[in-house]
Amino acid sequence: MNPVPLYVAIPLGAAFLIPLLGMWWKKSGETLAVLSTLVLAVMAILAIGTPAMVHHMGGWTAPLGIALVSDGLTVLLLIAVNVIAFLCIIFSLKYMKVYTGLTKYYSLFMLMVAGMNGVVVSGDLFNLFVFLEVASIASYALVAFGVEADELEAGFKYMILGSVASVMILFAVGTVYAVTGTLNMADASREIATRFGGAEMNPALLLAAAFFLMGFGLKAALVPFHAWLPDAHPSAPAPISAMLSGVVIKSLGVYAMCRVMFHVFGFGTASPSSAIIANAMIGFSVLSIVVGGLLAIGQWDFKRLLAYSSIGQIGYVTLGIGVGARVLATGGTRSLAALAILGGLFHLINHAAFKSLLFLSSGAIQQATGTRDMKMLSGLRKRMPITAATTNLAALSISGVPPFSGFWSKLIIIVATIRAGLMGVAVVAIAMAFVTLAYYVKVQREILFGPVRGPAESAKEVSPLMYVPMIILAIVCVGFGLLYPVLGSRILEPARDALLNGAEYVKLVLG
Amino acid sequence: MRATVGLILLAVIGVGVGISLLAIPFGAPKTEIGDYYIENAREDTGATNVVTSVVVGYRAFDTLGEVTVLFVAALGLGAVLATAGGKRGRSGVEPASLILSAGNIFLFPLILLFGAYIFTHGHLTPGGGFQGGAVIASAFLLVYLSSPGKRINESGATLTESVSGLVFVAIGLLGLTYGTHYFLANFLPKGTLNTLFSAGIIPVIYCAIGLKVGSELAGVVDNLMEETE
Amino acid sequence: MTVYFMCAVLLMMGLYCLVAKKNIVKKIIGIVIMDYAVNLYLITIGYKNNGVAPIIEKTTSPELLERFVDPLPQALVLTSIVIGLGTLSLMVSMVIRLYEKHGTFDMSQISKLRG
Repeated sequence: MNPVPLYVAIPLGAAFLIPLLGMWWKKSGETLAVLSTLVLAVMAILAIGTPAMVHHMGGWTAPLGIALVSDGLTVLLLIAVNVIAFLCIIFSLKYMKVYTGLTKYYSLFMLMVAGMNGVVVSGDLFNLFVFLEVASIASYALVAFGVEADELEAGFKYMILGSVASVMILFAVGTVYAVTGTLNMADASREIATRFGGAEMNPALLLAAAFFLMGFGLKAALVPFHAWLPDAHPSAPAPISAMLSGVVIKSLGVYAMCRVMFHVFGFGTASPSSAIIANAMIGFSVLSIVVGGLLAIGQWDFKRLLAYSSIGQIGYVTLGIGVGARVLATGGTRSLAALAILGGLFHLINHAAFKSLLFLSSGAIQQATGTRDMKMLSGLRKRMPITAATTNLAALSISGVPPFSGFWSKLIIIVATIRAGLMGVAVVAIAMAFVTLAYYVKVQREILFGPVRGPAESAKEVSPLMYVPMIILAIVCVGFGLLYPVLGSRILEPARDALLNGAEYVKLVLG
Repeated sequence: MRATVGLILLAVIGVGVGISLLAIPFGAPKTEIGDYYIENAREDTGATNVVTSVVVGYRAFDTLGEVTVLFVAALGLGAVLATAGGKRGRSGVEPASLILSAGNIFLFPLILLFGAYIFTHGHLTPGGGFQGGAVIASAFLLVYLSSPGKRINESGATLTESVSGLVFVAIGLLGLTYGTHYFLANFLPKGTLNTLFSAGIIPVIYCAIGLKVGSELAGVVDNLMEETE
Repeated sequence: MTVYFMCAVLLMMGLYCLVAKKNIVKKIIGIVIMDYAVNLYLITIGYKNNGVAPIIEKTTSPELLERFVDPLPQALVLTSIVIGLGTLSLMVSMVIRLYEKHGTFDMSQISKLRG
């Protein structure tokens, strides 16, 4: 029996049960959430190395029904989403005690996980849109969960921009259906390849690609569609910020963009239209890297700095993938494209690990000292040793200091960019890597080192329920750097091959 | 100033979008899949309303996602509008006129009946779970407008909503273990065409959806009405 | 052909309303107009010339079956309308709360987060 639909059915069932049982059993939310995310995380880790599978919903074969596909790229994202969801739930058990209405919080969290899992396993364009909406609406409600003035304004702005993105994505899905006559991604890619392979694409299809890029780019917070992120991520409660920056923008934005662009539109045909799409991706990535880095330097609010840093790092991820796309579209060597995409995907999973760790530690600091203003914090290393050590590790990783994981992924992306001939872009990427190092050194200097004064005087180390997930994530950061040869071949290379081999995807789904 | 610049920019973009869309044929769509649905829906699912067989038969997973979206929105609305110390009253609403309060007593059960008719016959006539649920919720809205002091039984609404949602997921999981081993497979007998008890799991799912949507939207209206004071 | 053009015009009108108006309720109306534009676009994709609704009755002949419009976009629009309703209800709840906190519907008064 195929376990693929269980990734969606388990969190959905948990989310429907939590309000029902919450009428009589107060602890239902926490117990069910911990249990279901644990089961999902174990299932995702056990799925490493399994061959690609397809599940046809209801028994209707594709393209008549909806197909759920689990290939290498899906497994990579499933691991990231479910493991980080489990760790954030453990963190929330203690952190969210100050909020009321916790039954709704856990139910909304499980629905967000269900939506992200649904996006990642979906093999059908409209199904991807529906689950993207499930995850997005759950995240809008969770950002505004504390109903203070700041959080409401951030949630409202996020909601408005997110709805515009969803409308654009739906418009593009409709256009793809009108031109190709099918909604299944494999079938649409086969149609587009046979009708337009090597020649100019239908202008309506190019419009659909542009709308997809804009819609998914807004979900991924690429510049110039990033305006919601610096307000939304700091205002959310810390475990939700960790989920948002760590996995939501990646599964709803970057993954969906990769899946649609590589598999439905396809880059392997060396046509001028695919080169336009690839160059647009690279352009947005460079803008994100520059804007994210420059605006992060001047921040004194810890979470806002982390939010701008997210924008910059997602720029690196899409740069790697965009360079790979461009190499494929202009007829370059496959091995170079494979290197660039590998770098992008490696940075994706690295950033999921260290950004969620950084946001969780900002939550721990906020709970212990009551503030996140970096001017007032100082010397936390002495009062909160575990939190400080994990924050230190994460900051070193994200700045690209060897031998941590961030160094390797950035190195691969920059080497691939240079070998693809984009010298200017590579110079910008290297310069911004130094800027990233600069502002994380600022974070360490202001918050961790120095004499203990101000709110840090009364700070104590947080409870084990909060620091154990942080320790686990720190081990992951170090582990991905040291154990790359083992982990890379089992997790990353199948993902990279899944993106490069469009023909195999079509054969898998349509038989 | 900023408004006129925005207007011109959007007009240019709109013309560009419109001209790109001229490449799509109108009135003669490319419908291999649509033709298959029209010809085979009767044998495959047993429903005579082809749109229903698409919504609950071939693409039932999308309907599960749609039900989930409504659930998330209702839950989020409850979370945002929740007040810390119990509920506030609705003292600011004007008392209803005689026509409204008298007509409500007569119309409320009829509207409920009509909504139930729509969702139970979703596989035979136009309509279905969502439409029937919306009609049921409008019956409750009529009650709120005509008798401002009344409130629905909140725990009853939550109970109906959660149980119906779980019924939908359970039917899906039953299809996984029973029948043809696929999630949401049609494992009940298809019966004869054009009768009420035909089309396998479709009327069951539509009843669950109709009750869920009705209680959910009634809960949403209840939450929103509490705020007016 | 002109139908698609009008859908694009409606989409841009909704986008203009969202961008240019300061009142947050009017911004929400802009998003609702955009939703309607996309739903209209999806429905008109499935139209066949001289089409009829795809409901099979006892008196349906095979020639009538040829004239049925495409049922798939109708299923998509059903889902899309419900999703639009969900989004609208959540936005309205946030507007209600914002009005309670700030006392105004004007976006420029409400935007305090800067930097």
